Amino acid sequence: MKTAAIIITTVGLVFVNASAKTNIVALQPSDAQFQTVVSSIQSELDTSYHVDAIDISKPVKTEDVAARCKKNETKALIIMDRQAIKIAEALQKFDNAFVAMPKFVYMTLLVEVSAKGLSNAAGIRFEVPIYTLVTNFRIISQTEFLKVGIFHRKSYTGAIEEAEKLLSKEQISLNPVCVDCEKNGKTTQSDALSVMRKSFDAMLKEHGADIFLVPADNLVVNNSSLGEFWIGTVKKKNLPVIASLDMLANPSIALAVFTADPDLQQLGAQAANQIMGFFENGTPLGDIGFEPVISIKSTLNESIAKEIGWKLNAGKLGRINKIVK
Amino acid sequence: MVCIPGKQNTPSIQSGLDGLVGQGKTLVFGRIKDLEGAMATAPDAAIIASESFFKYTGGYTIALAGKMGGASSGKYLLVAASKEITMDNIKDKKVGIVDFLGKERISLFIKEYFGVDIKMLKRANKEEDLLTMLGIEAADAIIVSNFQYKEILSNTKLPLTIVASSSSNVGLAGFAVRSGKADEKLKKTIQNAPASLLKEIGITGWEVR
Repeated sequence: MKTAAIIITTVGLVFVNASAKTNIVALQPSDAQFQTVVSSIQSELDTSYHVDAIDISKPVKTEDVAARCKKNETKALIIMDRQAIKIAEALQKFDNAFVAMPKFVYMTLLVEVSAKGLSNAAGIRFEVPIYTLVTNFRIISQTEFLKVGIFHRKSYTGAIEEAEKLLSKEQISLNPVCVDCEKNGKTTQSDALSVMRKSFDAMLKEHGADIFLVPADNLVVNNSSLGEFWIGTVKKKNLPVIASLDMLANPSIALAVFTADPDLQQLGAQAANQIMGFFENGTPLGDIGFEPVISIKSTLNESIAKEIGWKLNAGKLGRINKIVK
Repeated sequence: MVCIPGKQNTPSIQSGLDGLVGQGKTLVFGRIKDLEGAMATAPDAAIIASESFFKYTGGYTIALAGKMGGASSGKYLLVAASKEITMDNIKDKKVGIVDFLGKERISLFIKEYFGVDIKMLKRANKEEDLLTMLGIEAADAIIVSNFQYKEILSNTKLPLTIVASSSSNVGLAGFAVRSGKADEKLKKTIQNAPASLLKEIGITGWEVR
């Protein structure tokens, strides 16, 4: 930041000192993927920011984190995963200053639910949106498809409705089946498998499904459903499966023809954009909100495509990050 | 030094240049920020980047201007997926663009060519992310070159509309040298780059300036 600025936040006024660096503390586990995102955030932010990472893989005391934040005049927190959210919640209880402090939450599944206890928070949803997965598969497909079958749990209904709205503009429809809506909250993996078995034929006959999308959800895909249902039934009918779980395209499992994961490097860039938007443009955290992850890294299992007779658009395969032959 | 953000093909360009100019003689970057860092340590190095980069940077002379087909420049387009987006309300909307110039220059570029200050500019490093931004409604509009727009149209059934075109044409990639530091030998080498390398840079040939 080159000049002093007064930023109006949802909780009041925060004075930003022109001469000082904007110090940000990142609460992050030590795993490589978290490091990748924090490094990417650091490299996207200019030299007027300093990111101090605290490894939360080891036990940390709330008062120690609070003291460290106070010492370097921390202006914001970057919070990564649920353990970090718990620490941030404890910080809020420990010192009121943390209630007002902006918080950016990344790499957390169901982030809006997980970060419900945090005030003044924005971030990025970590799940690859259904829209992104489906449309990116269409771009590389020569075989056309219009209907996507998906099994999901009740808590995923909002995401399904959002995807239906967005995909309708791409002239693609979803054919969703809820696997736990009847036994809300008490559904076992075996119950879910039973729902999938029973509804599969009806899904194909009544509304149709040209491809199936497997969400990253152990109620829908697990050891018992993988072999019997997904490989034994869906793949056997030569229906392509796309997933937001990279491992499903691995030759050892060989279920998904196409998968997409968040591109962690670009996730860091998207996060840095949010942080700069808040500090430099004065965009309120409420306006930043919890955005969907934008950039993906995709995998194509070409041998599955051949096996099920799915034609690919050779001219578009350059956009795939990893091709399994 | 080379920096053509958006394509994520840095390794291919690097390997092409290693073969053309020699191992260790070139550096390819995927982000303008990294190019700027390297410029500080090698201020006299020749650069291949968007022509606009040199316009806003100053101190460089373009020796070779990239061509696509017969054209050495083209329009940039402000594209939306909703008819509610207009030039009257665009300044308050979220607009996505590939960051081919760096944070400060990209705002100057938009102001100069579209006459507007966008408050919520969403800079992306990958071209393909722009369509995703529109599709998931993370951006209300995107700014793309007419060449990128053709590619986007082939990838979507979204009802895209062109809200505005840039006030004038914008140059493609250019090979520039520090003013007064012409290097004819290097210029000739770059001029003879194979079609495969030019394609990675996003052009089909060079025009001598």
